[in-house]
Amino acid sequence: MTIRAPNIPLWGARLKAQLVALVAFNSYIWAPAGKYACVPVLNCYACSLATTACPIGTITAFALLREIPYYVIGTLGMVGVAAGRLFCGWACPFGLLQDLLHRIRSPKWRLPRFANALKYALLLLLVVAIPYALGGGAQKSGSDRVVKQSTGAVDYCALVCPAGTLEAGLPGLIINPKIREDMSWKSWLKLGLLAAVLGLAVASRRSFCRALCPLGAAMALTSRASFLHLRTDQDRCTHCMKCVSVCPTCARTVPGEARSKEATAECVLCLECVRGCPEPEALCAKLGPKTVMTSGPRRAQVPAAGEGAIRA
Amino acid sequence: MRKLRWVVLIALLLVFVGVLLFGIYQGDAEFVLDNAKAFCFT
Repeated sequence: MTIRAPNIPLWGARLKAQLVALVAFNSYIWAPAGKYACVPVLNCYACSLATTACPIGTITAFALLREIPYYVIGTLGMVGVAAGRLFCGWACPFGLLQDLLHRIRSPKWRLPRFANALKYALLLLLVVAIPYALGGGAQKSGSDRVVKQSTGAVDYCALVCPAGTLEAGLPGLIINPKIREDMSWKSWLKLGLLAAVLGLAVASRRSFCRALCPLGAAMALTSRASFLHLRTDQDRCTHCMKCVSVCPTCARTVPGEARSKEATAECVLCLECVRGCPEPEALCAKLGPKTVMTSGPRRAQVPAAGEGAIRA
Repeated sequence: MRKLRWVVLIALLLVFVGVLLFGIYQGDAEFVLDNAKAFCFT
């Protein structure tokens, strides 16, 4: 079944999906076995409520053990090939927070395109290379990770992750007075980074996802070759640039340009471009060869058959 | 050419499913659970 995009309130549908995901991924009380699963959303598993395991924290733990994380690679690759970065756009709790913050009235601007590269560097250095270099190659058990964390870890979770600071660090600081007494420069660094990321999200849409999210970088590696993707009909496209202007991650480039790529690594499949496109069937979301959603004029702008005759 | 694209994608998907199953066979899922529980601040 093909849905004509403007007939459904997409922001409302996406917001609802994000809220459902927020509850689902923070329902540990009802689903304790969920921590077996590495779901590709940034939701810190150090939080008591977290239902699932964080893929970034898990990759770091495997790097510390100097082992290949087959389970995480398989999960992220499978989701990436099937649905690209759909989870980033529709399910990530930290993405939801950024979307809500961006609704605050303020001067808006976009991060330059070269900022996108930073997240790949973070993935390579702070999630894989440095933990691997500092890791002791210990046996695989739950306690190893705790030992590494308490002896001055240098990784993404320990130094950067704002989702971890928000969901686990801040509640820990509030609940546990001992954590407050033992605050190190890393804690202050992470609190500062969290404030900067949240401030940046107000002015620049999905700026963290674009520049600092290593999970987004990991998903981007497979999202270029995804069953769920966008396709532009060059014959119907009028180059009005509405799709480019509504894209939250600057993933869309000028349609028809030599550098224009449909399957871009930055696309979080929010489908706002499909909704924003005024040309009928110029832009489609496809699952494999099947069209699942297509652009078109708003229903209110299209007179129903015979409407003009009645008014006349 | 389009058909070849889908064949490649299905093959890639199967490879990742295989990698995931190999990880489960290696005992990674138990480690993920242990690690997630150990890392929890409460």
